Amino acid sequence: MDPYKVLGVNRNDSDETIKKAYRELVKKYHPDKYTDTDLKDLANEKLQQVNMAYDTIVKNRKSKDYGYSYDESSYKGSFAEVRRHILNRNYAAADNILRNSTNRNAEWHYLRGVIFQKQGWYDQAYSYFEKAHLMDPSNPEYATAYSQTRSTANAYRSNVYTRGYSSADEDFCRLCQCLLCTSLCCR
Amino acid sequence: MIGYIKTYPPELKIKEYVKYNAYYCGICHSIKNRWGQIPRLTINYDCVFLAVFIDSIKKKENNYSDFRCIVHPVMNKKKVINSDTVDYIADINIYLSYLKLIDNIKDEKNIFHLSSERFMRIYGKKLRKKYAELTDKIDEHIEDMAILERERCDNIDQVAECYAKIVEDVCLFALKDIDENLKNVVGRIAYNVGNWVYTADAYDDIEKDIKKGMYNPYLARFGYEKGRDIAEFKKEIKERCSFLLYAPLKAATDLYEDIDEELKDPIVKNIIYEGLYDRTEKILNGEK
Repeated sequence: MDPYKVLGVNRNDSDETIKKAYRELVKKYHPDKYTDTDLKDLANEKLQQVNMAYDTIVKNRKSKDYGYSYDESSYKGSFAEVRRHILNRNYAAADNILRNSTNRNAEWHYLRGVIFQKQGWYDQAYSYFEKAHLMDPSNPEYATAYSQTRSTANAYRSNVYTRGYSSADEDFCRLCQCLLCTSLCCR
Repeated sequence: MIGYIKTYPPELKIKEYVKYNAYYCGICHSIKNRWGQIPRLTINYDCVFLAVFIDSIKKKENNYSDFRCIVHPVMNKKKVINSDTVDYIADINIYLSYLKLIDNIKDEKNIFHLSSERFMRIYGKKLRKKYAELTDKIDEHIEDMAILERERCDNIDQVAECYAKIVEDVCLFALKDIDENLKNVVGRIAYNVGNWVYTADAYDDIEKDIKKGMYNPYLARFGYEKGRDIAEFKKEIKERCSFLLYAPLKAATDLYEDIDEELKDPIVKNIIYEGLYDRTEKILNGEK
């Protein structure tokens, strides 16, 4: 079966487009979406086809050194399966592979960080991202994860402020200002 | 449940404020009508959040009625009536207060605690019968937490998870019939709110726990040594703690953004954005 047909993309499409198509399909066939057992099996089967097709394309392109990009290069690592499980939100399976792995490199730490973060174990996630970044400071994926983690508080804060939050004290100041302005205008 | 989850009133519309209070009064009256006067004292705002959140996901409209409250006899108030969610949350509120009481007795045995435990035990028993499936799960999480506390566990994520799972289970129990995907998202939101309540409460208790020599996950996690200056210790860990308190809030709000627009409620938004933010800043800055 032509892997490009399975994903519904063209041979000349960029890695980014293919990845996007792949993600869409994974979402579409996610077994959790179906309650009917027959449909669930069918979805599972489709999902496997999609996974295989994507792996084949990535592998082929890599061997031809086609359109190298850092994100793709990470799939070359020994943890492609782990990443796929994470993408499918199957964290238990991903975690299981990592726990049994002896190759505890920067990527291993990064991926454990991702799983911890998804599970809501934020203190652990922070430590693992930090370790991954320290082990391989040049990797942009780990650097981004680490800096995003570090700026979590600020990201939330800015979300709150864009919604129009103002602390009670400020409100009081504004009230004074407003009164002052009105009294000036009405004079 | 400790009464940490509150709205930020300056940003609420009047109609939202009225609805929020109507839930509070609805729960309070539901307890009175079905359990009697004394358990009414256990009511707090955390359960109001859960009730509003559950009803918004169910897209449920409520009936209101006017009444006069004994605590505020001059004002006319509104309360939610004939609501399954309100009755459910009223029950769960009593059950969680009962568990909290048992926990308090472990720390400190005084006459007040012991006599109220005897009194509340009857309710605990009845509720365990009525919600066997749910209370078994809750009891299990409480048991897990007790074990971790006994071990003086230094993994704060693990301890917080016990509490987070309780909030998740309480929410999902009332939302059995909703779509699987939505259930996942709602469960994660509840989990993260629960995680925040635990981490925020524990941070607030640092001084108290040092003085009483009791377990506190922050002391275990950051290796507090006896006799060290508390202010200095807190200053040293503040940045990481700020991350620990904001990470679940960031996750909860990100997840809430994914929910269909028609299921979103302005009160829930007000709470998870402004309300919890305001509270977190106060806790981190040591204000009460």
